[in-house]
Amino acid sequence: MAEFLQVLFTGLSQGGIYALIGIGFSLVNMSTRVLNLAQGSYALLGGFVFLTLATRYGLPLWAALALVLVFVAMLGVVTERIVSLRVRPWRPISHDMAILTTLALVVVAEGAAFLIWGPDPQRGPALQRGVVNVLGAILIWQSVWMLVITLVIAAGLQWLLIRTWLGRSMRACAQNPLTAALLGIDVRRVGMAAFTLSAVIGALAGMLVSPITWLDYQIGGEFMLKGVLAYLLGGELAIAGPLVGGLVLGLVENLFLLFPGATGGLLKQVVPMALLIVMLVWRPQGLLGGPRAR
Amino acid sequence: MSAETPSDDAISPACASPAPSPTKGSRASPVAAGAPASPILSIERLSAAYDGSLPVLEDVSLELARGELVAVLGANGAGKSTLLRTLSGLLPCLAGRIIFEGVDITRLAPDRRVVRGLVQVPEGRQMLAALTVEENLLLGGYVHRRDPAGLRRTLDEVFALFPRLSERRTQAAGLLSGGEQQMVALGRAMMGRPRALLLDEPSFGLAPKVVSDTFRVIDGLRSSGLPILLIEQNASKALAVADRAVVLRAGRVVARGTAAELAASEEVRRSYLGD
Ligand SMILES: Nc1ncnc2c1ncn2[C@@H]1O[C@H](COP(=O)(O)OP(=O)(O)OP(=O)(O)O)[C@@H](O)[C@H]1O
Ligand SMILES: [Mg+2]
Repeated sequence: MAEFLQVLFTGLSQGGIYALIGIGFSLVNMSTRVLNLAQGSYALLGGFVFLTLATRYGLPLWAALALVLVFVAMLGVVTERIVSLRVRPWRPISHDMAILTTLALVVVAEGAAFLIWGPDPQRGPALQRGVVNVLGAILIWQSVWMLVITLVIAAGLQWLLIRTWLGRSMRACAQNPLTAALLGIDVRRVGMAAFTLSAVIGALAGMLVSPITWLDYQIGGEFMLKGVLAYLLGGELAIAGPLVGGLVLGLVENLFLLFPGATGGLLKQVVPMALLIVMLVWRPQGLLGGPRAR
Repeated sequence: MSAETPSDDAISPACASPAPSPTKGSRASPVAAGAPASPILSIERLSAAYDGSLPVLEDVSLELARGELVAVLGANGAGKSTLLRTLSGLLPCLAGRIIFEGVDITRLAPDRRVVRGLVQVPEGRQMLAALTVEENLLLGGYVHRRDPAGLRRTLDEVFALFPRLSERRTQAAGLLSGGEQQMVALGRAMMGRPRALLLDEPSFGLAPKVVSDTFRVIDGLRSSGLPILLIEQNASKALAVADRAVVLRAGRVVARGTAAELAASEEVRRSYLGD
């Protein structure tokens, strides 16, 4: 029982990180229809800059956090500029070009991280050290916070999308950028807002997870893959989709760790990908998808 | 009517001077082919092109008076939608000026033009398909978002004009019928509180009955004093409601006159009225 609870909780908190990355994908995609593969790289760079500022330069956590957020917000804006530099109202964005560009950015970020921080994994400071005992399961405080922060961010974004003009205009831009412009929406600004927001969320994921799983220069690609999985598994609902997708993914992965020996680790790698193929073929609208209106 | 060749398409000085007189409500009765009294919108020798392409619009001049409905006719690819895109600021002008209510808006960003009251209903209705009817309408009032009470009032007016939309307010706009989508498109434009309306082929792809309904609504809007620039391929319907009309061919104005004059014109009948 305790072991099961342990796996359950570990899965959920890890899934929360996947969910955050997935939500980043979703935000950009729902505003610009671009799949920004560099989503995991914000987690990589944000996480590394954070741990460097906090541990090597001894900045207080809040100051390090503030600097990182400004830094990744700029990365988000730069990504948006690169991807839609040549976009005009009569010349829509090229999605093939965009996806390849962001893939190139993943490689660039990976190389930069290797040059700056070297090959060895590093860990950042935790919000709260130590563990708490719940019904026999040992929970790390950091992962409790991870899950809580994920849920708070998801709730906040859901509110933003449904209740605010920024959210409404993001959805309008995703549906039809030309019409959005005719309604008086500054499509370029909305795209920038979406990229900035998603970069900030990605960096939060990187900072939160680094005390638990450590960071190395290759983790951007891993995050990217997990985030895309969460995003595609969850389906069309902009926030609830990747949230549920990420949590399910985290749970499934960790349940396989109950298998003894190498089998568990192998299954953890393979089964989510197999699950993705099954979903894409038989339920492309995702776990939470409803009827389509296109 | 006056048939024009590109070279003699000179603007009379009367309409080139951007002097708006605030005589609102004085619905200009079908004016003679010459200059309408106080244009709310005047387009002066406009040229436009998509990057690197040959000019799609060349030297187009046109005035829309207060309370007037002017139709722009022309075959596929004549440049009608390009004209509206340029007026809305989605496409930059190569040359020429656009004067709206006495202000030069030639270089204004699209959203600033909407704020000023120049509102377009684009070709093909362009629903925000996954958004609800109400969200579509509300977004029509995006530029007035700092005035929620006013928006609510306008929304109620739109629902009064189109009770059907009120019944379907929570439905995804993409699931509506063509006629209902046309109502959303018109209602969405009304939410912007237009001072002049640009309509791009509102009859396109609609059943004859729905086309008649749509033209009734357009006629009603015009009667309420709203100036309308109407793009149409359905020339007979358009000339039936228009005060004046111009014919575009290959990006140039090739004919202009009162609706009656154009409807009687041999060439227009042959090319656009299908007889
Ligand atoms: N986005 C674009 N990029 C490049 N060229 C374009 C673009 N849109 C239209 N054109 C060209 O501009 C010309 C005029 O097109 P436009 O859409 O203005 O015609 P239209 O009169 O509205 O025709 P229709 O009645 O079919 O709607 C056409 O030759 C078309 O190929
Ligand atoms: Mg057209």
